[in-house]
Order: sequence, then structure tokens, then C-alpha cells
Amino acid sequence: MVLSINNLSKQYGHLKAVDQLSLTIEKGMIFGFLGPNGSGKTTTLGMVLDIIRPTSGTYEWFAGKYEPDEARKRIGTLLETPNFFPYMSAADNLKIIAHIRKVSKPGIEEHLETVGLLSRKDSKFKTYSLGMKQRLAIAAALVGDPEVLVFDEPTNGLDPQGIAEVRDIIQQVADSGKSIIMASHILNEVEKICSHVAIIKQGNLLATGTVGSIISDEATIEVSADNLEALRRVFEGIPELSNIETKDKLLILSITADFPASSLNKIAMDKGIVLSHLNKKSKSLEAEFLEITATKTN
Amino acid sequence: MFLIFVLFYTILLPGILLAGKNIPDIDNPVRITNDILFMFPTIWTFIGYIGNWLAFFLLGYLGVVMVTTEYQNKTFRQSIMSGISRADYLRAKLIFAAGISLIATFYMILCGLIIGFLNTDVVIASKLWAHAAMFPRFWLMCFGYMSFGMLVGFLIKRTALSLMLYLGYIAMIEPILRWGFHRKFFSNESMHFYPINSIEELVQPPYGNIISDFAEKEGFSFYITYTQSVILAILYIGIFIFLMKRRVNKSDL
Repeated sequence: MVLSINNLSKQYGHLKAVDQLSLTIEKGMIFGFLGPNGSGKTTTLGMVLDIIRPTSGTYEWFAGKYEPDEARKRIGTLLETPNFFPYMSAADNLKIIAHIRKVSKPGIEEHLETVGLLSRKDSKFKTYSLGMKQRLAIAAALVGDPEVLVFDEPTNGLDPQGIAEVRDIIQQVADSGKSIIMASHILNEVEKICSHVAIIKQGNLLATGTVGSIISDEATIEVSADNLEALRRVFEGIPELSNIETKDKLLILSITADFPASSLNKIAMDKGIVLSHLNKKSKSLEAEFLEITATKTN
Repeated sequence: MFLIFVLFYTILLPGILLAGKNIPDIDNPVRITNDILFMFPTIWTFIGYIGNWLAFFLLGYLGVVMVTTEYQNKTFRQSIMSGISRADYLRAKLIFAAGISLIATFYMILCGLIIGFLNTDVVIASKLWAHAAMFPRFWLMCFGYMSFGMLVGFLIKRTALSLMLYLGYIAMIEPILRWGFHRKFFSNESMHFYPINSIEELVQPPYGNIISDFAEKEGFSFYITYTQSVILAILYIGIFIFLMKRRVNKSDL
């Protein structure tokens, strides 16, 4: 077990930023933290990284195998913004981190190479563009070869190539057996990379589980025919159907995921209606996310 | 930034003293030349006093800034995330402050020795070291100013505001508290037992002893003894460090 969080809460005056959050993350998971702005993702990560003091609740890294400070030396972090000494070079900044983590062979050049900053290693941090700062922060997280990486919006400020590169780095790191905790708004990235997700809103954990389990209960099927009204009447009786919507000359059916599209085709044919359009889409994480966060409001 | 401070201190400490060469001699009522500034043993009182002012401005400023920039750049936050403990972080800062104070003290001694040797006709060992007890007190004073600056930095976290509070407290708030309020109720020695005053009085102005003898004749003590100031300074620095520790351990970064 990499991280266990137990009823963690943070109160700022009247505002309950995080409310009794409990969660377990196992080794090898690529864990996504999803939530709208202000939902408490960064606060939660801040608490488990000892930056923010919890109001109540506990958490434990690596099942208590290490002292908290020792544990953090084995966690690579990027939280909110890249934080470095502006008047020092990139290489020097990484050396400081290597020193704090007591790493004997920091491999600084190697990490800079991985993020594509080797050519600018001696430039002062304040001369860096936003994308470069972000990439340096990722390099810093890799110093000391940590067992866990915690990333808060790692693709922030990056161009599409950068985003793809970060995705590759994260995949590479995950493939080497490390665990990753990632907070992100970019849902299709999370969908591509993460194995598990937790959806948080207003400090509460709304859903957690594998990406597959959160998505798959329903699918969306688009159908169309010349006579939409008739088609609608045909489908209305199907029990597995939860919702029918009309949109731009299409019917959007929300139906259980294992209902075969071909059955819809047959049902329509039997009633004498020929489909002009049939398209089954698994519900995206984004649609699921918006639904979960919209309905479950305090 | 740091280099600027070093430069200022390095140049100003002997510079201000040597500027005294421009002070004209006074012939009436008693002949006083400006030689006293540069000769043993009195040079120590003067250079110590200049050092006192420079430590208040430059070292205290350094104390504030070395803490607040780490809040503003969020490098304190990053260091904690990288794995340093809050206790170690504070310890490192305090050791740095102690070290800077030590360097400042040595430099003061160096300047004093050089200028003194160049300007004293006959150097007598006893006169040279007459004020040697001032040296450790000077270090304590530097450390005192720096730790007060650091405390303000940890409490306020923002550079400009912290500097204002640091200067404001020393120049205005504490004097008002002492002379304005405390004296109304207790017009006695205890009005001098305030933190910054204790630190300042570790190195008294030149001829402080003459002034205080004079004041005492009127039944009013102006300065506190060195023993008192050392004990109080150590006590207050201890309190500053305790408050810093608590602040660092409790705060969100």
C-alpha cells in the first residue's frame, strides 16, 4: 500500500475545503484525482505532502514503513506551480533537491535530458518560459528516483507536443512499476493514462474506482431515421433504456453498456423503420464526470 | 541581493569611522581631537557603535529577507515537499544567521585592529584589548537583530510588510511602549528590559558610561549593565526562536 488516507478534513474558518476524505492507493496504480476548480484536490495533496496541516484525520505513506520526512524523500512532487530559486541555474536547483533528498548519484543531466532541458541547464530559472518551468518541475520530481510521483496539473502551460511528451514520461515511469498520483482537469488525458480515479467535489469524495468501472455502466447510442417521432415511440418501451434525447435530427439513447447496437437495428426493422444512422459510443470520462459532479451537490 | 549587503557592510563599517577624520578639532572648553575615534582603546567603542547601527539595518534586513523570499518564491514549500523536515529547515536558517553574525564580528575586529594600528602612536597590549569583552557581545547583538528579523519574516511572510514591521517596531513601537506607556506606570529600570533595547544595549554608544553616570546623579538610570543586557538578550533570542519554531511547525505553506 502506497498511501492510505483516513477521514482527512481541512477547515478554513467557515469553509470546509476537504470533508472526511478516505482513500487507498496501492502500488503500481496510476491514480487520477478529478474535480472541478476549488474541489479540494490540491488541498488534499497538500495535506498528504505535509504542506498543509489537516484539521482532522490521518494519512500514511508506505504503510508507515518510513518516518514522514523520509517518506517524502521518496515522493516526487509537482504541486500547483514550479517553485525554484529564480537566481540559480536549473542544474543548481536540482542539486539542492538532490542534497535535501540525500541522493548520492543525482543523475541531474539525465533527468534534464528526459524533459528536454539539457541545453538550458545553466540558465537561471528566472529566464525560463512557463513551459520550461513546468518541465523543470517534472525533472525535479524525478530526482532521486522516487517510488511515487504526485503531479498536480502536470501539463499546465505546455503546448500539444509538451503534453504528449509528459504523457509519455508518465507512462514510462508507470511502466517501471512506480505509482503515480495525478490531479488533472484534462479528462481525456486522465482517461488515457490513469488506471484508477477519484472524483472530488466541494471537499467530498463522490466516486472512486477503476477508470473502467466508472465509465462502463452506460453507453450512448446515436440513431436516426426519416421519421424520428416514430423511431422514438419504437424505442421508448425498451427497459434497458434510461434516457432518450433529440438533438440535431438524431436520437441520443442512454442505454446499458452491454445492450448490442444490432438489437436496436432489429427492433426498428421489425416495426418497419429503417435506420439511417447508428453509432454506439462508450460514455466518455468527461460525460461521466460532468454527470456525477452535477447531480451530487450539497 | 546578498552581495549588496556584504558590500554595504564591508564599506560602511570602516567608511563611516574614517569619515570621522573630517570632524574638526574642538578647542574649547577642552581640547578634543578626532584622534580618539581611531586610537586604541576608544576606537572599539566607536566602531562597535557604528556596527550596532549597521547590524540593525543590514543584518536585520538580511534576516527578514532570507525568510520572506522563501515564502514568496515558495521554495520553502518545495523544500518541505522534497523531504526536509521543518525543524531542519529552521535550524539551517539559524545556523546561517549565527554564521553571518560571526563573520560580521570578525570583520569589525579586523577593521578595528587595522585602523587602530595605523592611527595609534604607541600600541599598548592592555589598551588594545581593553574592550575585548565587547566582541562576543557584538556577535550576540548581530544574532539578536537577525533573529528578530527572521521572526518577523516568519510571522508576516511578505517581504515589504515584514521590513516595515521590523523597522517600525524597532524605531517606533518599542520606544513608544517604553517611554510612552511603561514609564507612566513604572518609572524605573524595568523600562529598559524590552527585547530590542536589550539587544541594542549589548554594545553601548561611546561615552555611554559618562552619560549614564550623569543620569544616575539625577536618580534616573539610562542604560542597563552589560550583564543585564546579555542575560536579557539571550532570554529574548530564546523567545524569538521558540516563536519561530511554533510558527514554522503550525503553518500551512
